[in-house]
Amino acid sequence: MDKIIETILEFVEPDGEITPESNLRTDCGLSSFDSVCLLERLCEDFDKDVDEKALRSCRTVGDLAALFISD
Amino acid sequence: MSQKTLSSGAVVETYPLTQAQRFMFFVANSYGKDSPVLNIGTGYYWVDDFRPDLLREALEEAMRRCDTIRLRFCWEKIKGVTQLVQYLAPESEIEVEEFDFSDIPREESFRIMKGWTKELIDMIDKPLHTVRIIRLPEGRNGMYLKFHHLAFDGYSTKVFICDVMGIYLAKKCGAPYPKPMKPYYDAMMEEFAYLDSEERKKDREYWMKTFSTDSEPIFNDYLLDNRLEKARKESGDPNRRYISLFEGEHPESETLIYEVSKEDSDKIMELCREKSLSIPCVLMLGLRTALSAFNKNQTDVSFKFMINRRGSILQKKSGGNRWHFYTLRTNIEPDLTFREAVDAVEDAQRTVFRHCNFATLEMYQIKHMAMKTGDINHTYDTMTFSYHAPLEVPAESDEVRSTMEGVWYNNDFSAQNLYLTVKHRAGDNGFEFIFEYRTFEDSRADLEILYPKIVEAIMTGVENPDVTVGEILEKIKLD
Repeated sequence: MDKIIETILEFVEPDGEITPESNLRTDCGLSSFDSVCLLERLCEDFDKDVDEKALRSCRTVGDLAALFISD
Repeated sequence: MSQKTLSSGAVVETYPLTQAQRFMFFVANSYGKDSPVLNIGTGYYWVDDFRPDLLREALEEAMRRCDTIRLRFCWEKIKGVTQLVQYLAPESEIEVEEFDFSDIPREESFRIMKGWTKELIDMIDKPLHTVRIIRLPEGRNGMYLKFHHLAFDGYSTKVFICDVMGIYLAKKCGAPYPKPMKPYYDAMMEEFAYLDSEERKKDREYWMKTFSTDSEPIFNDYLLDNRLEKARKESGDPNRRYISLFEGEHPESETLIYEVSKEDSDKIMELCREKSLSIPCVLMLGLRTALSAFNKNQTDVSFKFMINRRGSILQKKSGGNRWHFYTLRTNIEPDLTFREAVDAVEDAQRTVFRHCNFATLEMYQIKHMAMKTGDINHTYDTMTFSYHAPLEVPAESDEVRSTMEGVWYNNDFSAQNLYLTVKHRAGDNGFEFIFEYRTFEDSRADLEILYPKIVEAIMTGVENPDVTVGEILEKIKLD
């Protein structure tokens, strides 16, 4: 999770702390474009191919992390 | 990359234009030659106990912090071909003049500043900026900025304004100093690295495959006197789906500005917050639904949209012009709900975003070859849409924030026939729809019909996200 949050901070400078519950759009301030760039970056870092349509169901940082981190 | 010796004796490295700059330069030369089409004129004003001395210091400091203030262009012969290249001068002229327009009406000062914006910029080896302190009537003061579009775009202009205001408030009220800007050189190198990357190869393959397997799009007109029908008759081809739209003879343009009320703007933004929807996708759904209504409820609608390509903090804060233009094609059936249709628009947008570092010009060449239109001036895209997301400009207090006002001094020339730009007003954050249309096309009356249809489509969906697109089309149908 730390890696995901660290990567998000390369894209935005939010006022508050980012937690797994933070909403990607409203709390983190990620635009649609930011989210796609972030997804691409995470795909590279985690060596995993994730379709951009998966972002449709990602509301929070935790949702996004679940695409890359298995339990 | 090569070297150039400046008149000062300094030696600098020169670099090719980035793909975004190349496209902007190509479009301006092809469709707006010898006009000020690449001049961006902006004003930013507010009411406070004004300190012009501190604003001057803030402007000077912000100019030193912003690399693209030092960006210059020159001609260079590369492999026998003369090309425009860029370099970063070691330092730039930091000149801030002050103009007092407090005794003349706003309309008059607007006309003067519009005139400044329209003055052609000599872009070879010269500064590409004009920065001025402006005093207006009723205690309103601020800055006028003129930038060249190869060095700045709307996003980097706004970031510059945020930096100026952050520094001004740090000096005036002891507010925290704004974080540093990022190096333009690094962002430019990132752009060049993409050209030789695996990512570019994949993007090229993606567009080749998409255009070779996609069905042919169709042109949807914003003029009620439908030009596709005319093109079909003239060409004798009843199945023709594109028209010839681009030309360079008539770049003169005017603007039509509409303000969405604060109440309606707030409703749109509240729905987006509550349902986690993308604001530009809601706006684009409104636009494509109105275009659909203008074209017999066509389900397949395409227009160009501007992508500012500012994802990482480096990209956001390094100045320059990063705009790429891509087609947003949406096929939306009438039984989809408004909410589902926003998702469909966002899915289409995300797919484009994933492959949008690929050069705009090259993408359109591939598309035209695949569609066999035979001419890059032929198009399926009816207009160009852009959305400028709000960047919070630092303010001394809510009271001062409510007086903030951004003004666009348009240059009255357009490289294409119609642009729709949606921005947020500085004072109350409400939406402003700016139609910039070429006057020769005589589209104003039709745009006056189109705009209310766009807003009605959006508000119908905002009031009830479960309404279907078919029901919205029924509500906004043409009389």
